[in-house]
Amino acid sequence: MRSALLDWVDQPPPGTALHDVAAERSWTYADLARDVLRCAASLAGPARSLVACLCRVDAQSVIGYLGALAAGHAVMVIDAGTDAVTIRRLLDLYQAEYVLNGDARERLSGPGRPLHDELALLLSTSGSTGSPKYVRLSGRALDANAKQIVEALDIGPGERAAQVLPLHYSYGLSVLNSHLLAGACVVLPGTSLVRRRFWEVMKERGCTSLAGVPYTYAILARIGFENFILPDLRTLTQAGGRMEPTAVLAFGRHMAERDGRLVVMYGQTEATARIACLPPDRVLDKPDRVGLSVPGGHLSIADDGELIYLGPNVMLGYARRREDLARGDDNRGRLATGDLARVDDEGLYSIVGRKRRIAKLSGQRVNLDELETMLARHGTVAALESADQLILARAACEAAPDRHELSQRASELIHVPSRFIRVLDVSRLPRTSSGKVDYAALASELGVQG
Amino acid sequence: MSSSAVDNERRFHKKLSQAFRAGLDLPAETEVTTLAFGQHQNWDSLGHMSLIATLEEKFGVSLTETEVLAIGSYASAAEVLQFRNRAPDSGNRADS
Repeated sequence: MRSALLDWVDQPPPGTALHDVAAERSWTYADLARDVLRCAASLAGPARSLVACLCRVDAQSVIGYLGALAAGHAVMVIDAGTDAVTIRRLLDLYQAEYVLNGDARERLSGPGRPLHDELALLLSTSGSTGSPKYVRLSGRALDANAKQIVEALDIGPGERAAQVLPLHYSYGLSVLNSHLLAGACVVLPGTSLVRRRFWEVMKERGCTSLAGVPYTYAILARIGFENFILPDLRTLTQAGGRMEPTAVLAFGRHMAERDGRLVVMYGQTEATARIACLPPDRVLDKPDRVGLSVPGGHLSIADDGELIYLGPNVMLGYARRREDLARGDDNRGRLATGDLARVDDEGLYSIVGRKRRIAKLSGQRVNLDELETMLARHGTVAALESADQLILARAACEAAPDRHELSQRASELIHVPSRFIRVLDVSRLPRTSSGKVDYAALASELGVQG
Repeated sequence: MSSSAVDNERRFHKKLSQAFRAGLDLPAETEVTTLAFGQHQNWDSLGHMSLIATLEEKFGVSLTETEVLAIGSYASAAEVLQFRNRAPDSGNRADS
């Protein structure tokens, strides 16, 4: 059965589906359908395969991703900027039968171990890091979340989204999926928002929306976004981590002045992409909330404070290697988010902390406990997150490597630039009575937010 | 050009190269004078903001929004900063 995301392939709606600025080319839905089906035909085979798609923000990547889905295969999306050794390791680990890289299609191996019938997409849990842990998503979940996003944001065929976020990132891919489901247009700008050309493209192509993570908004504030003349821009969405309420307020007010809206959302790759949405008319009075569940989902809070999400967009489960791709639905529509939440008298949720120690650095998730273990041979290090930086605290010790070396090492391990990492020396690491590092005490000792 | 002007020029480029390597997280020997935005994996939007902050710190200037967008290569950064050096506060172009 073809995914609802690809319904349009048989009867393409009118209008432009994609515009690739760097390629100087537009694809109508009919053009895109033709190219997607051609790609699917080139991947046809008797058995369902795993197709690794090395993604850039360009039309070739979109066609490859959709073509593999249309052929009924499972797709693994990988950042094309990942180093060759890591890519090779992932391809081996997951025994991908095909790899798509731009124009190139390579058949890698004969049929590997079987894939579960429902498996459609593998997304990395950690942005662009080389972690082998992937989220297994069904076609059902992909369709459901795209539909939820279309409804939550009321995306119509007249929308033109600027695809700023990468396609291998769940939030970025969900921009593409939701707009295709709505028969809308996605503009692939071919440049970055710190280039003047990007803003010319936004204007020339009449982009109506822009999706960003908190860091995107820090950039927008720095480059004078509020003075840019963008007559068609109506919607900014923010997800990918908590944004400071002051920034939410500033952009909420600014978008209201533009007769537009800022939509604060909350999501996880484990739920395909997006889980909750703050109604835009509440941004100014409740800027610290993530709002209500997207349509068709259900939020609740467990006894220990953890946010639980039930919905059709929840993953089948995790994978670490090819063998795991034969597994069925482990989660059964239920996701324990790992975030601690509160709900107010109006039913609006807010995230107040994390149950597991997962840091989010420039949109990438870093498991702090795992990182500490990996750094253990450099001495005892306590990792914590503060103000979008990774803090590595260590007890003074003669054999310790210098700060720069430690931050370089951490940077290599987690693929986060070392400018996001600070090494701080303490006389001793505070511990709880059970001998665990007392992170709250450490945070206050270091004068950082815990 | 007088010899002191040559020295100044050399000092400026040494400082700018160091700022580029620090801002973009590049190893000490990296040749940076030919760098342009997007041509090295570290010079993406995140790297750009880090580079801007480093240039501001090392050169003791605060770059305008227009300058942040105008800097797209080592050469354009040099141009922006050299203009700043000649007209530190007044923004007066006439005296250069």
